[in-house]
Amino acid sequence: MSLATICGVTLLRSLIISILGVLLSRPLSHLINAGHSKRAFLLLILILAPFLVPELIVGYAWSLISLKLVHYPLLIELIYSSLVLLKVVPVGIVCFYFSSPFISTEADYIRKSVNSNSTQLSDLKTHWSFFLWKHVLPSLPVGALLFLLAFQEFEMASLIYRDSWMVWIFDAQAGGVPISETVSFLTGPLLIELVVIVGVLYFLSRIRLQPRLDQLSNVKKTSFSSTLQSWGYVLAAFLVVVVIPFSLTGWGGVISLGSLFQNQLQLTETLRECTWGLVYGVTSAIAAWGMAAFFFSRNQPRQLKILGFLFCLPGLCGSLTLSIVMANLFLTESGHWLYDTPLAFFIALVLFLFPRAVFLKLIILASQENDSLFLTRLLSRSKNHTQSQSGGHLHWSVNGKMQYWAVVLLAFWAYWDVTISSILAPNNTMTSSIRLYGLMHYGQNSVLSAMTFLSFCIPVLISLLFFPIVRKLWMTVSDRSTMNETF
Amino acid sequence: MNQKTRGRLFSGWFILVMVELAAIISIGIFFFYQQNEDALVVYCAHDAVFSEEILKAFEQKTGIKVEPRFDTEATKSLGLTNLIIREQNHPRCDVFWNNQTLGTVDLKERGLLEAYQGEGYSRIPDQFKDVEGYWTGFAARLRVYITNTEKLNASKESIDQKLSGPLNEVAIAKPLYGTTLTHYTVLCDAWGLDELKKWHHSLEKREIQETSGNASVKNLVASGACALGFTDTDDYFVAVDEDRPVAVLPVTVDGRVILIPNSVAIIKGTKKREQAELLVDYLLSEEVELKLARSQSRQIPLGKVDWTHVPETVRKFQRSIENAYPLSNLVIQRAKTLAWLKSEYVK
Repeated sequence: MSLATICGVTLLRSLIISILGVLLSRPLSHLINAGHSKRAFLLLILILAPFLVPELIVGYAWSLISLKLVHYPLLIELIYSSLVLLKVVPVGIVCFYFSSPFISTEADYIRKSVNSNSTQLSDLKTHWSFFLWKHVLPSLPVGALLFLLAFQEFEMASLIYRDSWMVWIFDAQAGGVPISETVSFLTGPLLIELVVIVGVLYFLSRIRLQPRLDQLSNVKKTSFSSTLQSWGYVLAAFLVVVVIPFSLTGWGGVISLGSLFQNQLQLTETLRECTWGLVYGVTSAIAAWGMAAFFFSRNQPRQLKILGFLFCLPGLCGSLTLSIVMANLFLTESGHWLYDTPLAFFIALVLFLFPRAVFLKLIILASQENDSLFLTRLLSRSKNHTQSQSGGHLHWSVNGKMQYWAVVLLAFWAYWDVTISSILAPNNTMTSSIRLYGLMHYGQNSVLSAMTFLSFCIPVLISLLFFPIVRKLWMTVSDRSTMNETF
Repeated sequence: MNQKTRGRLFSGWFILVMVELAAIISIGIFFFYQQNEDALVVYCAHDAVFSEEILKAFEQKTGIKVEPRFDTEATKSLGLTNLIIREQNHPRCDVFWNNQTLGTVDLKERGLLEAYQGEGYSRIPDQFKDVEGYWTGFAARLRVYITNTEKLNASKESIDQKLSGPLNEVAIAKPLYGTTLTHYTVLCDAWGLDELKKWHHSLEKREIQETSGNASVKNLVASGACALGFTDTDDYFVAVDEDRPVAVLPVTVDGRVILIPNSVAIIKGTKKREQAELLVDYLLSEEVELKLARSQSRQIPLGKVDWTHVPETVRKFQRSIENAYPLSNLVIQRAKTLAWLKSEYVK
């Protein structure tokens, strides 16, 4: 198939996924409870889990399952599209939950109450206008985001052997196409992505001119059956994207851990590469988060935020586009001194993570109330030690904890990245995801499962281990400083 | 309410910036230290699981640090051969260990290799090395038909019969790269490009299952989703080790088998010529060929070895060494085949 055809296939698939994703995410967003209880946090984790599981693991597990279905390409396409859908829906849920409604519940209530034919509120035009403002317009930015995520999906498409423009460009590269020609191949997909991004930015800038509702979408009372359906979906998604892949790789991994520990060379190399993955992941995550906090804190001028959005563009164009363009830059006469150094890789990772960091930052900002933040800061600075300690705890709960997990999530994404690492990581500091990805294609299951299991457990355990340390550090800093609440 | 307050001695920002800077400086220092170790950079297309052990053994034996970069499905995007071409103005690689020969021959034609005829070179038969010593082949794999024994016998008759009908139960990797490209190049040489095109289109028409690589061909056949596939012996042995019901028959062209050796070459412009020569000699040694023969990939030794130390599963392919299709002079055929395949797949 030609690139144009494959681009069309990816475009169509991504469009369908984004529309379905929006339709699913909106009602599911009502499942999330406000508040900071453990139950709410666990529910959020359950909903977000499909998005958080690395594509590499999901793709690998489902490639083993779909192997038997080679004679049913439509079924494999359905499996792949469903996996992408299940992975992007949590993003939609979070977006809908944290976004302000365009029409207040009160306005909607009034519209529904006034049913007389004589009123302007009941004519078709008004109904359509309400429908547009209530359902369609708020869904556009969310749909665009889901579209971009689906359009850029690469690892699963590659492992399950599905047509995708990114896989096609990878294959073209393998055939020895010069990098300048590859960059020209990127024009079409890049144009599609830019049209979507610019369209959404334009839409959001127009929306800003409208009166703004400073309220999150109210928690609606939903019927028992719809709650049951929502729970059914969440559990099914968890089963398909989390349980099945982990039971396929995890169990085999636990069994084979013994043989991996006996193979000192494999173990040392895996641990070394995991360490590099972590080092790169954490540093680039902190940098991306710092940049997002700098550009998008509440009090920053609009010009700075626009500049921030411009910095988002490379990352929004996808990891393949980003890394090929950067490799091209670093192989030029003026840029080669940076080529094959950690700096080139680090810059690419930060640019890749930046839009995700901005997304997380905006979600956290939307969920935080400035007044409560300020009060917790005030309390933490009280001369009474008990009060200041409680304030510190509160401030950690409503602000610090979320920031910690946001950075962990960003680091996790960088840790599992395959494309940028394979193209830009220096020889002596390769990350574990490359080795795993290669082995997953080769199909060496026994060692591979153990290595995958180990590579997954290491960052998870380290993030849990560092949690109390960072918390303690946060409290200490809170005691000694008066940080700007916008951080 | 004024919610903005001034920072004192240590703000969270300050600590964060310090941590970030410390981490970046540490990475930089570590990287700089590693660079100064003057390691020999080896681009290695052979699978990391097998080659890593050999490179470590070389390190231990000589004390020369080796810094490998492995080729994986992921690095297809810049594939090692292409990477060397792209880096030609600022070469990073000192020694290229390719898992086939045609790509290395291409590098020679582009003037990117340095000749070396050491003691390792002399123990490899002439048909598997460059006359001028720009590259040398060693430890080979065979291009084979892999069959699922529950569905098809690995006999010439049954395979020919299977290949003459619908091919929805037959798998082949995309011929744009890897050893399938070598296979196509050999066919181009033997049949001519027009005949090859006809054959390829006939496979497509009869709905052959085209996959991204030989490993997936093996997976399809081993799982029973396909009855027959085109792959290499190393992939076949992976399936054997997994106790899958598979068997092989070497692919023959004009009565000769397609034997695809690894190849090793020194990259032009290396500043570590002496260490590079040591590694080349080591890779071409009997010790390494035996190690590769005993590894999971069961490579067939090409040089003189004590065959009693070679596993029985590999020994049965010994005769194929004398009956191999010559690959060293197929540069033009490879270029023609690749140009045509690009017009088929990259459009």
